Amino acid sequence: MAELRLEHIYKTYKGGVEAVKDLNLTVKDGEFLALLGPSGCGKTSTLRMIVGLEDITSGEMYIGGRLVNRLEPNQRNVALAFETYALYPPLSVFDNIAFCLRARSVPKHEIAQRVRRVAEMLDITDILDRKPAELGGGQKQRVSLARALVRDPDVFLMDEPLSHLDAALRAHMRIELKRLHAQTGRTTILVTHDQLEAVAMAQRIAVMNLGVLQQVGTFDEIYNHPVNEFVAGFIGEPPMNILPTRPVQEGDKLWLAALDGGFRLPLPDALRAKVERSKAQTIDLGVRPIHIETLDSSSEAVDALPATVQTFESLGEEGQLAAQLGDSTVLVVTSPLLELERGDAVKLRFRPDRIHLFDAATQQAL
Amino acid sequence: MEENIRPPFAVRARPWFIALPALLVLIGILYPFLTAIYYSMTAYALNRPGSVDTFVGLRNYVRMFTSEDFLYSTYITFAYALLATGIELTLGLIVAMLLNRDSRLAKIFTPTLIFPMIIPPVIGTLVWKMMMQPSVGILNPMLNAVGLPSLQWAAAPETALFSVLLVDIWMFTPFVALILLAGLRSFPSAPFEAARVDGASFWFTFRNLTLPMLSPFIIIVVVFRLMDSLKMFDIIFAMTEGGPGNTLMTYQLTAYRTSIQFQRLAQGLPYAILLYIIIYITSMYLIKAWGRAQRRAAGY
Repeated sequence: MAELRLEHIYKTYKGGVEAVKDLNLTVKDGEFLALLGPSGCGKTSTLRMIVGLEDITSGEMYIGGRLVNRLEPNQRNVALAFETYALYPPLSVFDNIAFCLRARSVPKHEIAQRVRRVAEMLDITDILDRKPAELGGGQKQRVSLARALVRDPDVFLMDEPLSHLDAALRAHMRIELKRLHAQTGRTTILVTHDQLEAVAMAQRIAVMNLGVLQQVGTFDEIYNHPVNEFVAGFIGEPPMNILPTRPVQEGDKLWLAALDGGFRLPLPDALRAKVERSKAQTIDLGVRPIHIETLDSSSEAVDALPATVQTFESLGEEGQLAAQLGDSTVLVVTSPLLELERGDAVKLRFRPDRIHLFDAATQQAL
Repeated sequence: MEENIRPPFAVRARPWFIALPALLVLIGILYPFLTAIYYSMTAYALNRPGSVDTFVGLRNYVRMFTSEDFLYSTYITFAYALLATGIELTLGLIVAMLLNRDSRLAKIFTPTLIFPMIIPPVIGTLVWKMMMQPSVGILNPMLNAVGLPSLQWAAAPETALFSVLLVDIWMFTPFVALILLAGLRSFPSAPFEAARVDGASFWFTFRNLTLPMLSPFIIIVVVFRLMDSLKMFDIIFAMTEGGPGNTLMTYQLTAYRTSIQFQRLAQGLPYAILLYIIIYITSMYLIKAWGRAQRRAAGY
């Protein structure tokens, strides 16, 4: 058990590709953290540096207060469950799990005991004699987890552990992994590109993009207070609507006017101070599809914006409306019971407490 | 009507055309082989043309098995084959492991592995023979330079086997290394990274992971090298013609000397046929083992 601390970590590959830039991250002892980002964001490079399969170009990494930059993987006491499982093909499941214990010359009876215990935890006692190629995806996954857990690692890392499983198994394993974490209490890092996995399992989420850590926090913090447009757009499904606007002063009221002239929105008082403080020329207005109300076209509310229906799909539990607002298309999650046709006039109301504002120049939240 | 249903000649003949090469090869192999078996049971001598009609049954085989040189011939055939295969396998494995890394040196050395293989065996052997020449060859001065005594090399019975083995090893170790290197390169990297994270030492990984995964390639190499060295002719012949004395008279050399040089064709053939049977049984066994090894390496 240990805390993992990354300080100013850089990773530059041969040829000058900067995979990770100035990464500062602390994973608390016993915490379950998800490293989330799109492909090529540097999350796997980070993971490989933590494990020791990749050199750290600069910066310092501590596990349990011990500087581990120069240590070989086996000296770090970290375990990794590989994306491709990386089972040892010629060895039986038992031998796969026992591999690291044998490599460390653990006494035979203790090996049998520990393998048995972890196999029970993962419910794979019945396949201990089988060979890897005879296993299904879910079983391989469990063996790979068992192999990582059997040695009581200080830090337990998982690289896209669910990406090769089918949907039903994935949902099941999400619960299993969460249970496993609760049961073992290990510092755990999950690398994934799937926000659903991150949200379902991790206590905190670290969002990365283009080698740079964007934001770390609980799902609530990241979802409700994204620090920039990338995080705002990456978290949440369907993604947040981003509309470019300009602040307009009119009397004592401040308005946001769409750059394409599609709408004018009176700025809620709570946001007014932010806009005035930032002095941004153009402001990207962000609002999630579920935070937009669809009103009747006859609505008189001052913040109801007239729009035209492009498409409306009733998906059973919810409806998805794509509406044209100026030149932009706005996605709205609605009740599935609405009856809307292409070309219908509606009014959209952005919930004032759910509006996000970003400086269009820096993409940072105001 | 019936003529219309009948497919055109090209279609009807297709199976025959497809089978033709196999048929030709079969005739090309089977005919001489069966002829050889028949000849081995006659008194055929090349200098007595009529003797091919004298059927003698298994007399030539009895003569071979009771010959005083037979045991030694068996010993030297197997000693040569097993030593050559064993040493080439060990060295080839070491070379392949050394070249299986992403370094500039490996990039430079890997293509040079092909060099000994593009030199015809007889030419290569003759060059070695000159280098090994006891009085004017270059190897003795080199030995002397590091304080070792001169050797008679292929000219002395004690060092003759060592000398021909040296040439065989020089010539075929690169082949072994290339095949094993291809095997190593075909491995997925993840299990080996997992082994590193698991804290396995080089030897532990080598024994438990590399070797089992490499075993199909090793068996392929053994099939090739064992078959080849059991029937090795060119290196031994170019170097010593089987001498000095009968030091290097393997089955193959004995068959050649008896059948061609002494012209007693029928008496030499049993050696060749015995060699064929040995090679056939060994290769059948090895190919079965290869199938097992391949399944094991693939994780079944």
